[in-house]
Amino acid sequence: MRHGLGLLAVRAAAVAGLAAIVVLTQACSFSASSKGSSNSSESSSDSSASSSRSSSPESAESQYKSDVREYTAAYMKTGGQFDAFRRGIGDVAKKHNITNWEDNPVTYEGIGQGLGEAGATDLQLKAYMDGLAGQDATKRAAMQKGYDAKKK
Amino acid sequence: MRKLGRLLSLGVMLLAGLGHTAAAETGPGVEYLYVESNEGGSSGGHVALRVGDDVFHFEHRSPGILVLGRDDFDHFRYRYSVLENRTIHVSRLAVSGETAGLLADRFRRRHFLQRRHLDVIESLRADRTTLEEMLSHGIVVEAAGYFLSDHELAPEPAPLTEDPDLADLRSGVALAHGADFLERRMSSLRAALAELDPFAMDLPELPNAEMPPAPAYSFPQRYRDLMGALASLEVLRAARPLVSGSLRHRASDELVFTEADSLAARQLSDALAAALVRLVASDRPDGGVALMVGMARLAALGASRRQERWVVVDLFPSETTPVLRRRLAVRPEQAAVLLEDSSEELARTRERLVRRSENGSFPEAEFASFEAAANRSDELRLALAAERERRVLKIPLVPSRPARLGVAGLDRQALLHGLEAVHEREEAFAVGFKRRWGYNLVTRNCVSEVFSEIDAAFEGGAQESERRMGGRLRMDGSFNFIPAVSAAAVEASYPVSERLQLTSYRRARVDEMYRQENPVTVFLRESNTLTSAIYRLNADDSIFVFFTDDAVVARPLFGAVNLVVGIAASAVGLVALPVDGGATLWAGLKGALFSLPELFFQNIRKGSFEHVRRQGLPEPVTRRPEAPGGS
Repeated sequence: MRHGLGLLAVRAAAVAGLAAIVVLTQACSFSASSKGSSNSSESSSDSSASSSRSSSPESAESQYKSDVREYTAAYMKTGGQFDAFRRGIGDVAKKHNITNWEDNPVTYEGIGQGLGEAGATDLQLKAYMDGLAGQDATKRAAMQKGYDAKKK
Repeated sequence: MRKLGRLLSLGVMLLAGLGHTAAAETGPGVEYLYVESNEGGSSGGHVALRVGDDVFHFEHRSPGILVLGRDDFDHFRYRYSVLENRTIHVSRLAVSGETAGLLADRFRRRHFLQRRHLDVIESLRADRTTLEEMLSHGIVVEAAGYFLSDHELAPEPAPLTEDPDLADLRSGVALAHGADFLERRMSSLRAALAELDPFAMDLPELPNAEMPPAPAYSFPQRYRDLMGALASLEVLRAARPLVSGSLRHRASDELVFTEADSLAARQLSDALAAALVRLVASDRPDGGVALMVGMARLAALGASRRQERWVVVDLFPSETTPVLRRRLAVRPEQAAVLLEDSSEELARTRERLVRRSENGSFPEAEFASFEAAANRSDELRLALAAERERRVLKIPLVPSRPARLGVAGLDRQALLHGLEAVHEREEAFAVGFKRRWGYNLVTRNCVSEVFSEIDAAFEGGAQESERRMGGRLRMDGSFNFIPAVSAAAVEASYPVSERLQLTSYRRARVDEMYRQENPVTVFLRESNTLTSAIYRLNADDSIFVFFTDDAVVARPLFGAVNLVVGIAASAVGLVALPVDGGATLWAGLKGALFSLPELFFQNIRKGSFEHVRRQGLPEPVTRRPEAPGGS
């Protein structure tokens, strides 16, 4: 009888141990069921949650601006070729379903914000304006607006 | 005098207190979120830190890396507490607005840093693919598949017919930039292509640990971009019509033009054409794909105007390309919900597009949303009609159907040399990423990284962290790395001002039913997967009968039944192995495995949902805060 109880306890411990292993080794992941609607590579098949982070058009626009700002501020620190920077802006825009980023004023405001955040001088701002916005007054104004909002 | 001093100091304290309160009120709130377990990859639970609207959480991904995700709170909640059916426990931390701002900055920086590394790894992968294609005399150009079919070296002959909208666009370009503009531009692109040096790969340099990689523009990227630009101008010069199968035409009345639609389509066409005239003259490096996408949309808008109904570019790859598919709902009422949701999304995005079309510029983001909604809706209807799996759209929602174009005259040795260099750099980035952010069950998981980042948010490190946060969670030599343990430890270590519980979707619905119906009926119906009015069979779940997350006393008994069912399903799955490829066997084995903890009063499995309407979700249940520091 005692032997039987001991065996039962060992079995129970083994089962509990196995369960614990299952629990511990699988933390921090997400289950298969939600992958389709989650983050990086797939869109929600059913809802409007096509973008991983956004839930409204306004918030999507502000997230795009924020991503452009972060990318520009980082470029100011790391440096690199200017055409590589422009190419990178295209990649950021594409993640927000935008291909013609040059025609989108939000892009320029985000770049201006990034320049301001990175502590760019007025002279540097002007150089970026010339390189990206040319003589387009609207684009230049958007860059200036972003720069002024984040200038340190 | 002493009394006055005391009064003054009291006044200072009050002002300081008011200042603190004001800062806490104006700054973003900080919450520690513990997400209960479920089966699959989440059986140990999950944790996150919410700062304002952003939720930061570290996810364990293949190949053994820990990636910081950033979601808005609504999305996070929908994903975890609704689709994954897991209760979220919220501990609101009493910290100042300034501290919350520092935390937000730190987590955002870390998120950006990781994302840049992952982007570079992805771009190196694309470079490797491009070089391999070039070695076999071809190159895949994104979005070219809407106008060109795959061909190797010989260029396709110009078609006999022209697309009227592209012909108009060509005229617009000639008017704005000169009659010979396209020829001049194409000549300069060909010259740039010939000048590219395949020995100068210009790959991204390995960055320092805390710095993002500097942007690089590699040889394969440049080649791809120039080929894309050249192909797009060739399409425009010939005003090529779309390749058959590039558009989605739905025969239902749902997309027939109203008067407002008709006007909007005209305005969108004009605005898009004007934008494309500007784009053609731009010297941006990656303008070719944008032009190709824009021309496909312009042609689709032209077709819409002629047919007086919305016609959109097909965002799905051609039928031969592998694509993620989802099994369709087995119950008719669920299919009806999917259809209804899809129609609502289509109506909402259409209304927004029409509204935004009035301001004269082309609202690309709104157009992309409508285009995607129309694609999803059409795909769902076609899949339901044909009783087949529906395909799932990939992000980004940009038309990208590729075509393989021929390349020749490249130095093979240089390409092989470049391929080796790209491969080495790709490996170096992947190894660096894993070294810096590799997953470890105990020392670096979703819990430990949250608290490590909290300490790193402050210049004074751990000491300042403890002072600002009112406490500190230590990981060394404790079980705090387990998500559930960490949730209790947070409540004991930090000043928690409020506790909330975002009940899992099924439990919230069941609670609602208990309030409105006979409790015995609700229990009998909702305790199991066979008769539940809420739960629908989800192919991703294991095979089980009884829900045990809300049945504590009966848990071992229900668990025993679930175990027997799991074992029986595994036996059936073994027989069905040649027919279903092991799907039933795997679901049965998982069912048996996740029943074992239930025998010991522990619950992991809760069932999950493939689709739940976002509208009308239950409100979160608030629990009263206990004494500070209590558990």
